[in-house]
This record gives sequence, C-alpha cells and structure tokens, in this order.
Amino acid sequence: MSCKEALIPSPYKVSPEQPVKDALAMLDQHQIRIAPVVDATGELVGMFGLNTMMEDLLPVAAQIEDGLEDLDFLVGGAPGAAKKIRKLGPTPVRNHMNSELEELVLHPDTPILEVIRKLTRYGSPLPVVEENSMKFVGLVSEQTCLKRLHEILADVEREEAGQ
Amino acid sequence: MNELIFGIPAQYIALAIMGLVYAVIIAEKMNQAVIALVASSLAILLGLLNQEQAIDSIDFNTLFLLIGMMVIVGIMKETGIFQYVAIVAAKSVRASPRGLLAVLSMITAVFSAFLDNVTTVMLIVPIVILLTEQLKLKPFPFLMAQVIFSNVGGTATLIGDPPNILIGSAVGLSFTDFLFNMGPVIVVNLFVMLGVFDFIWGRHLTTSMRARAHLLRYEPAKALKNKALLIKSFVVLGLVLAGFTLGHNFLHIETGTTALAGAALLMLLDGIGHDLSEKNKKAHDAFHQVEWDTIFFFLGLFIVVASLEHTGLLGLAGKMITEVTDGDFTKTGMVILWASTFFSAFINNIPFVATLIPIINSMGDTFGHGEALNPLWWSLVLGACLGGNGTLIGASANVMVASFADRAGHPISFIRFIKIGLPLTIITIIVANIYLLLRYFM
Repeated sequence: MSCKEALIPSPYKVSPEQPVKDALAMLDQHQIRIAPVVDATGELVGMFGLNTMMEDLLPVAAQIEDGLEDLDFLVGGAPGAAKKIRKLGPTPVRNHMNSELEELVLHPDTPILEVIRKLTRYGSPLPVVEENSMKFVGLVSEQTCLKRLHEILADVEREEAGQ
Repeated sequence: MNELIFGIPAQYIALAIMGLVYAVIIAEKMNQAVIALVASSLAILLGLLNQEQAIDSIDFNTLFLLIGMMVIVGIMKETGIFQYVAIVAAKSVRASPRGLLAVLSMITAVFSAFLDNVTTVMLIVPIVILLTEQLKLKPFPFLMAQVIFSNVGGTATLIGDPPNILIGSAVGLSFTDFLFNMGPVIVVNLFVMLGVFDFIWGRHLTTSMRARAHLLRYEPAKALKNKALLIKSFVVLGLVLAGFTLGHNFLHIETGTTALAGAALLMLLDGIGHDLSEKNKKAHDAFHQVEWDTIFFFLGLFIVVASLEHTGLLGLAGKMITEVTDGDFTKTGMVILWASTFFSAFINNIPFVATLIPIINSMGDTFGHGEALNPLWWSLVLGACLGGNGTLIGASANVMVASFADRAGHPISFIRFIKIGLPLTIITIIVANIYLLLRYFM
C-alpha cells in the first residue's frame, strides 16, 4: 500500500495572494485547521493554518530562531495579540504560511509506513506532490490513512476466514 | 628542526601555513576550526615541529578556562536570570526609552565582563527586541549598543573576551591584574559611550504612555525558571570568582583548574535529587554547551603559532617592530595599540593575538622581561578587544547581533555598522591611548 491509496484528492485549498481574513473564514466554514497553499500553476507553495497564523501573533522576539522560549512574564499581552489579528487580516496568505515543505511533502508512491512516520512527526494532514515537481496532488491525513488500513484489515480477515 | 623541507626553508613553509589560516578566515570559505586543524596537521606532518612539541605548545589552561566557563554559563542560562535582570532594569527606569537604552547597555557591559560576549548578546538581544517592539521603538540604536557595550565590557576582565584569556594565560596576568589595570579605563569608556549614545539617540527617543504602562505590567519573577538551580549557579559562580582572585593570588590555583572544577561542581549539584538516567541527560546537555569548534580553533592555532615560533620568525618580527620604533618603549606600545585595533576591526582577533604574544615576548630582550613588558600587554588587550567594534565582522558578538537583527526584520548592513562602529572605536581607543600614556608610559 502506498500514499495514493489514502489520498484526499480535492481538498479545500487557498491561494498565496488570498487575504488572511478570507482564508481564515474558509477554514472556519469547513471546520478544518490547515489547508494547502496552491498557486495559479497548480504548484504547492506552502501550508496555511491556524497554527502558522497563531505564530504571527507572538512578539517577533519569540518567533525568531534562538529567540525567547518563555513568555510567562509577559502579563497583559492579550489586547496586543488581538490587534495583531486585525492587522494581519488584509495581508496575503503568502506572508503567513509555512513554506518549509522539504520535510513535509509526500509523493503518491511513498510507502504507507513512511506516511505514518511523517504524520506522527509533523502532524496531520500532509501534502502530496508529484515525484519530481511540486505539482499538488492531494492531502493525506491520519483519518484517511487509518480508514484505508481498516479496509485492508477487513480484506485480510476475509481471506483468513476463507482458508 | 630541519632547516630545509623539500628544499624550501622551513620559515617560508611556516609562514605559508599561517598565511593560509588568515586567508581562509578572511575569505570566510571554511569553518575556522577545520582550517586551524588542517594547518596544524600540516605543520606536524611537514616536520615544522613534532607531535610532542605540538602538544607542549597547546595552552591547556586557556582551553580548560574556556570549557569550564562554557559549561557554567550553559547551565546558568536555563534559569532565566538574564531575562529577569533585563526586565527588572527596564521597570526600574519606568520603561522610559532613554533610560532603557542606558540600562540595557550597562547590563550587557557587566555581563560581558564576566561571561563570554557572544553568550551575553545571545541572551540579552531577544529581550531587547521584545522591549523595543513593545515600546514601538526602532531597535537599531539598542542593537548597536549591545555590540559596543559587550565588546567594551568584555575588555575589563580576564574572562571577558577570549584575547584576554589567551594573554592572561600566556603571560601569567591574573583576574585581579586585569580588573585593576583594565577596570578604570573601561569604566571611563563605558560612561563616555553612554554619553555618546544618549547624545545621538537616547535624548530623542519617545514612546506612548500606554506602551510604557504595558511594559510596567511585566512580572520579571516569572522569568525565573529554576530557583534551586539559580542558587546553585550563584554559589558556584561565587566560588569560581573567589578562585580566580583569592585562589590564584594566595593558593596559586590556575584559572583553568578553577573554571573546570566549578563546572564539575555545578554539574554535580545540578544532578542531585534526580535518577541516574536524568543525571546522565543533564550531564550530556551540559557538555553539549561547550562550543567544541571554538576549542579546536584555539588548539589548532596554538600549534600553528608554535610552528612559526620554532622557525624564529616571530622573534624576527619582534626585532623589526622595535627597530621601527627605534627601541622606544612608548612608541612600541602605541604601535601595538593602534595596529591591533586596525587588525581586530577587520579580522578575527584571536589568531592575531596568538601571533602577537610570542612577538611581544621576544621584545623582552630590548625592554626587559616579566612585569616590565606589562604596558605592552595592556596595549594589546585594549587594541584587540576594543578594535572589535570597528566593523560588523570585527568580533563574534557583532555577527551574532547582526544575525538577530536580520531575523527580526531589521537588518544592519556592513556600511551602516561601520558608520557608527568605526568612530566609536576611535573614541574608545583615544581614551585608551590617553590612559596608557598617563598610567604606564610617563
């Protein structure tokens, strides 16, 4: 079994130039946490979700590499973070997505155990792109993966019962 | 040692190897530790010196001191004490931008005197970025202040800056020697720099009362993460400083031994109350704090410099300098001060200082050995450490601050840095020059 058997082929997508406000409304409407960012040519350019957006609400000092690892002392920061949401609304998704895709992406022929390893390490869902390009193919999630494994288990049990 | 190697005089080969190290460091094409190790291996393999001589040339006191302090600071930074001090200081000036620029600068200067400069800015700069963002201030003057004050503060003590560790260990200058001789001129320079920063930026800085009120709500006590470890760290740091001063002066305990013993004690105390697997993890993490590439950079340099020294070239360089200065002690001191300022502004000051140490030692034949040479050592310390402020690449702390500035979206260009850094360096060196003349050369 490989990745393509557990694929969500046409998930909800966002475009890199779409305003954050609209993209967030789309996530909310479909009750999803993350969506692939696909450009006009059909290439995956990032992943946008509540998590990547939340990071932008932090002070810059906590976002940067080797920055502050602890903000326990920062009392009363809520109004500032709320104002940041307002400020982020009209900015494009491109500025707030996770564009470090090298470790995240899967290919249609990636074996299922490697898919599970990446899902456990990087979270769910993960993007699937064509083997030698970033052409977007679909998403794989924990649910689709487990569903497919259950189907395989049912087949195995049927075979065992037949013998 | 052979006079000729493959028909080439050994002196030329030693010089070529040292030249290679400098060229690679300037070109920034290879890791510094790797080139130092490649060069030292070449020096041994080509027979400039044998393995025994190479091992003898390594100043283990310097390496022990560096390793010990890296472990101690590495454990200490987990306690959150640096953030705590910075926030308390910010609140103590009621979050006024002008006061903030001054207190954050002085905190960095004091920490840099007792810790490695790079570690200090790594710990303080994120807080500086946070506070300036909170007060909606441009971070540039604050970040420049971090660079300048960390290099100036680091000059004051034996452990403040690696060149001091090298010189102190090679010459036998103690922690108290540094404090009494470098302390006064550094205090003057710090106040001069405070005045300059206030004149250029501090007095013009403004923010809203609302932003200040927000900052005043911070609770610094919450930045402290592990109070038990904090107490242990302070006890050990106190013992180490006592070792550097009283232990060195009365019991003749070398600084390297003190630092390593301190690191061992802190690791021991840190493990108390944990099971073996947690103890092992803590020890593993503590050893991981040692910047091994820095240690091997030093190790390689010691061997390369020794290979040059064995050929008699450095003694020759010493003679040339004294000839240029007509054997005049004051002129020699001034040449060392300004030349080391210039070199340190543009290249890593560690290989420069490592090369200068045997050269100055060789001047003992002209000016007298032992304490008679001390004014020249102080000239070297001031030039090498303060010169680091001249350009963006003059010291590791500068590069570290610039990298943070870049990540935070406020890049500092080479030219922008030099416009501020170079004039400030010249001011500090003029102050140093006056001090040296008044105290040692008149």
